[in-house]
Amino acid sequence: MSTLNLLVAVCTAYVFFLFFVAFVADRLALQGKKAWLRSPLIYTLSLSIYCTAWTFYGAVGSAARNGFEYLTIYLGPTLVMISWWWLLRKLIRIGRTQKITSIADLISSRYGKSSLLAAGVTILAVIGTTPYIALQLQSVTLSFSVFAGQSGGIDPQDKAGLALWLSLGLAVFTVLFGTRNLDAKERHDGVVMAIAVEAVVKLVALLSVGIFVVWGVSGGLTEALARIDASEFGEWHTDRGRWAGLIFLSAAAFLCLPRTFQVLVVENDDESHLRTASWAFPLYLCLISLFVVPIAVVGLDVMPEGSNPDLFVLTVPLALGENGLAMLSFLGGFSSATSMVIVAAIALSTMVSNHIVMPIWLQLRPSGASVSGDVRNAVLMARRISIVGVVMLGYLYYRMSSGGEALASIGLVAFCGLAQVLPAFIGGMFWRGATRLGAIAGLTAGFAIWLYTLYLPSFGVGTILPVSIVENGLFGLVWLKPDALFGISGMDQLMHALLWSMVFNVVSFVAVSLVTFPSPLERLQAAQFVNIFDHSTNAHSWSGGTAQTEDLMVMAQRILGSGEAQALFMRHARRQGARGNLPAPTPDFLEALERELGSSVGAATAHAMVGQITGGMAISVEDLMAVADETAQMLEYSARLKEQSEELSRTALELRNANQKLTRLSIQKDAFLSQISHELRTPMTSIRAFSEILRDTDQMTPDEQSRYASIIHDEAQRLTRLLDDLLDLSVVENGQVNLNLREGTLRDALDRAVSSAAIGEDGVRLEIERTPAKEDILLHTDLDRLSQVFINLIANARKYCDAKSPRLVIRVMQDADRVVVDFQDNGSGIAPEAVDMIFEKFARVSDQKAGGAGLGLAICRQVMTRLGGSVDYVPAARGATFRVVLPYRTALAAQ
Amino acid sequence: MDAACFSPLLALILWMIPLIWPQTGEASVSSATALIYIFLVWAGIIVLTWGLSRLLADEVDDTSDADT
Repeated sequence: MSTLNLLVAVCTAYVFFLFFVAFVADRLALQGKKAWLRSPLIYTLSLSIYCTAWTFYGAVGSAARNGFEYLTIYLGPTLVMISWWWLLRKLIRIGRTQKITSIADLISSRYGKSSLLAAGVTILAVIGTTPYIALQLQSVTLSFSVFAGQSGGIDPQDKAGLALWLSLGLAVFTVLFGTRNLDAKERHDGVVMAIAVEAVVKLVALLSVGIFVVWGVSGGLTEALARIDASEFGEWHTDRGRWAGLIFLSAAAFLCLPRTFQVLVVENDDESHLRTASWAFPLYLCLISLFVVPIAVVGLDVMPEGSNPDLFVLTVPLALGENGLAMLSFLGGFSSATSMVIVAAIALSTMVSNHIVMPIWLQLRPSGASVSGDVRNAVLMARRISIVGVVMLGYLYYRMSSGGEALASIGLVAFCGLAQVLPAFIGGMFWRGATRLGAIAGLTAGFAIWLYTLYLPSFGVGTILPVSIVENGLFGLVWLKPDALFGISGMDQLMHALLWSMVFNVVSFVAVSLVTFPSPLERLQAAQFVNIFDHSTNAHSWSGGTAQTEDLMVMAQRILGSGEAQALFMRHARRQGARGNLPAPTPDFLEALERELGSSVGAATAHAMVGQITGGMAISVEDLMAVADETAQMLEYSARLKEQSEELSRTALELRNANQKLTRLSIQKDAFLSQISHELRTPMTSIRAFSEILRDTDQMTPDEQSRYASIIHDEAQRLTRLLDDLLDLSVVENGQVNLNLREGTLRDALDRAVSSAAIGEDGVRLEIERTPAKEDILLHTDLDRLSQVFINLIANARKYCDAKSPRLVIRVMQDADRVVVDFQDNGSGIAPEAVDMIFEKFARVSDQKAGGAGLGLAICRQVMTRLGGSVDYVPAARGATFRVVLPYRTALAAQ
Repeated sequence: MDAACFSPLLALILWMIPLIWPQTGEASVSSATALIYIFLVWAGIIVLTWGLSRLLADEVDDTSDADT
């Protein structure tokens, strides 16, 4: 038992060493000496959390059983790491700006902070990780039993006890160093440091065994290669499907495993570390897997038939008497197992406490009375309980599976389960259209198929899945057999499950995303995730104060105007006592600037802008909502302003028009007055003159007397006519005229007009041509007024027609809704420049033929307007043509 | 920058080449050769990524400065 005691002592010492390392690292971190704690090297080494005991021991076993297939487990992560530029950089930036605490948090945060998704991913992670923890416990107990085997072996009771003690120790370590602080960014300096140390131990152990095997046992590199060719896997044999599938699977797992996500994203302190890790971690993986095949080949040679190839790393040195090397190798395996359990427990406990325990606790708690310290303690307690719970769950699983061989294959099964997160994960980072329901659908479909085709069968036929289902399919449907969905049989079980779960996962994720519509918060998060480099600031590069102030200045100038902004900055610079015109961006100054900007653009916008420039802070959704509110208010206000200004300009236009009209009217009135006084004056003058002659002249012949008296009479008559016309016009214009509506035919009206106007006072007769048949149109209108219009038009024709034998044609036309009467003479018509004026008052075509006051047509137009029709001059026709239009309303066809 | 995006693709293609090797008969590739091939690709990719990460260092710093 002495070897075993030694082993326990070494283990204990090693664990205490790890405690010490973690403790010192935490202390240094507290003192702010983070520089070397958080170097790219430590980051790279901590990534080796991916290589667990399963890969430490199992890789050699896998190589011995399946040839080169073990390499795929390392090639996948290598591919992911060298994709750092477009994939990991984005992922880490998202993790930093969104303050992501776990993979469940990432998924939930991307899809509108969905707690359902977070809980789902958490459950998936717990289901996938528990067997993995059990696997670590098994590997440690197995390696113990190898040493014990040399000195009499240990009974199963001791094995179980060992596993229990190990789990308790790990739980204590994790609780101590994993829940020291409740940082918003879940960083654990002590744990990361311990893991980095363990990573070195792992690598050194495996390399030492490898070097010993190649140069110590085989006798050199060439001999080792020859030995490989001579061994039972001397030829290249690989299942092609598994080769490609496993590379994909390991790459997916590297991204999705809670523990690798924890160190890769959550524990990342500086984005530039990724640059180093992008080549250094592939190098680590390369070195870890370098000697696997030689060890396997030598193991197969040296060890007796039937020995467990999973333990070759340990048993080969032991068999060859290298106890020290075996001890180192044991510590390597121990390191792999413990570091995996610690980080997995931290990652899972964060997820379980944040997404399952706390929501339930907050729901159950009576509302109100929430003190922040209260919640903090509750979170810490939840996390501690979760850590113990997760580790114990692993232990229970180990006990239940009784450490059998079945456990060894669970690694890839777990990989496959966690890979179900991948579509929602990658889709969320690169596709804005991905929705919450799509993610839920994809995860559910993938998870269900994985559970049915891989996870449940992995317990062995008849354990959970009844034999009938495995042989005949679900519900007796052959195409639902768990190992041959849709009747496609003969595939490797893992590849079969991977293929179908991924196909259904991706298809449902994409399809549901396409048909559903994301909520506003979801769309916002989608934009933040997909365009992370446009939205985020890189917090680590906190550039100098002046640069920020200059940026602030540029922004302030844009908003406040350059003069005011410069004055503001100068004022503050003087107050701070700074040289030059730029103040340092102190909180006071920033606050003042924010207030100043706030008065221009709104408080929330100002806060967001200043925050963007001074960096460090991500803008929360609430901030953005407030900005949106302010913008909406401003938009509304400006819309109202615009409306008002439009109304004002409309009113101004109306006023301008009215003013123009008034001016025109005033000019018209003046013209009218001067015209009318002239018109009145002319007859009055002659009346006065002739009456004076009659009064003052004594000898006057009766001829002369009567001539003068008749002139006076004529002039008086003309005066009377003029006054009549004026009266008439004013009555019609003011709308005071009473229309005497009655029925009669158009012919009557025309007859009357012709009889009274065709023969003038001078006896000249106007020849008139009519078509009486067409004139039989029954009218309901003021016939007297209508006749007046006709009389006027006929009289005008008689007076102004310059033809030798004047003739007037009166044509009546009738269409659907109006009656048209044309008066066309055979004269030369009206000069085009005069046409515009003829309907104005006192407008006369020529002075020579002056017969009236020039009011006739003006009156006609007013009358026709009253009657609902119109009178116009038709310019195109030959001779002077006036057209009278009567609406049909007043015209009824004669029966 | 683009090279950094394409290098994973190159690595993937190079590591998929073993799939088209003949697996049985006279022409099959010996394990040692296969092992050497895979590890040589691995080493090449590591060196390539190292070189690219050196080249892109300025770029990373530039963008982070521009962001703030």
